[in-house]
Amino acid sequence: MQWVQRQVAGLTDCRERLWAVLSKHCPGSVRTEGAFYFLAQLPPHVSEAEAVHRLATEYRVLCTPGEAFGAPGTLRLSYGSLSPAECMDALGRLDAGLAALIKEGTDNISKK
Amino acid sequence: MSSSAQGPSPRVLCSQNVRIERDPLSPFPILDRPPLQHLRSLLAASPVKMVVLTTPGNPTGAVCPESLLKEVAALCRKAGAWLVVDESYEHFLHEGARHVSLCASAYVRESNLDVLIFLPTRNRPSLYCITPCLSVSALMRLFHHPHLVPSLPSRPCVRFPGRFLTLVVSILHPPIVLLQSRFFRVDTRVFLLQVLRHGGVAVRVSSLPPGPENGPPFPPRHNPYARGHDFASCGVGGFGSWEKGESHHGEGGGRRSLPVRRMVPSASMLIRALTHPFVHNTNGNAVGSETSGRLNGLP
Repeated sequence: MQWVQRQVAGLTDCRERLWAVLSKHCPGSVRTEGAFYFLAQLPPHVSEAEAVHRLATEYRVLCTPGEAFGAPGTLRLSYGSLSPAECMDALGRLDAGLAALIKEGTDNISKK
Repeated sequence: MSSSAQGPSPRVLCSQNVRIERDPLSPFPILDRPPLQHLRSLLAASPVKMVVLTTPGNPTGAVCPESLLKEVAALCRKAGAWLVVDESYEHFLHEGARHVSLCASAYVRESNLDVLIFLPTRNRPSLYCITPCLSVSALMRLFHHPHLVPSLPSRPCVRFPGRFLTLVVSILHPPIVLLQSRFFRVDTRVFLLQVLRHGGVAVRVSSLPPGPENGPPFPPRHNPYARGHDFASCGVGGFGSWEKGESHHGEGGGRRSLPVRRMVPSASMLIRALTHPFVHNTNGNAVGSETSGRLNGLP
């Protein structure tokens, strides 16, 4: 129990930083208060499948497609297993990846 | 906070004799709590055997407030549906959120609800070790064996630690594999074995290999059922993830190096086991075969 509480306390910083990234790029997301996940709402012009693939291959950020949970158009992001250093590094890449995906999606709409 | 409760028609995840329906998380905005109105409509539309609720939730992280939990429980009770609450994340709370366990509340004791709850173990700190809480009345009802009632523990709702979930699922999904654990009281094991055998369930007892994580073996005089199988040779029917060594938690866990024996069946596996047609047979008794290993049609 104490071990779990220590682990949870250690998640706070990573959780806050992840939420800051999601607030910036995924404004439809809901800030919930349990577990160690956020379900990020992707903008409608960003493909969920492409986001998962490109975040993994280009930005080395693994996430689970929301479709697996009956929530298409979302990404489940876990902050439960990262050390503070890993979290900072991963969030930088996630930030860059989401920014690129959203920009490209917006550009594609403009071209059409 | 969203109060929207309406979604598209729930997806049918499993056909054959049982339909497993899932609360839709779409359309958006993302719900931060179970859509109660949708549950009402599901329960009213057709007979439902079991409702599974995960709180705190995965993937949303939503924490179900006590009032809502009680509403869900009341709805399930009224509909005659089992309520399974997955509380694997009960201690993973942030920003002052409070988790309420139905099983631990007076509400359950007073209403004699049958509630099976997953909890992280107290003394084995793993994100994925879960401990269920099963009301003994549920067990007894399963096997229709009123004569065992006098020997029931005095508490109507008993928390069992460690590997008990394996046993519970195996009750409904033979072969029975009872994993020995230092957290599993011998008298409890003996009692459950009696119940199972009275219920006509073939019981095969196994044990985890002793080790730092599994604790020392029981002294021989306290371990009358163990026959020395190790976990790898048990073959827990239906728990593909265990046998294949795959984690159902995908990327999220950070426990990818967990040894196979520490992985646990997910709620979806439990649903699959609990909703298998053999649970619905006419006399209510679970019938297993020690030799067949699994029933026809089981995954």
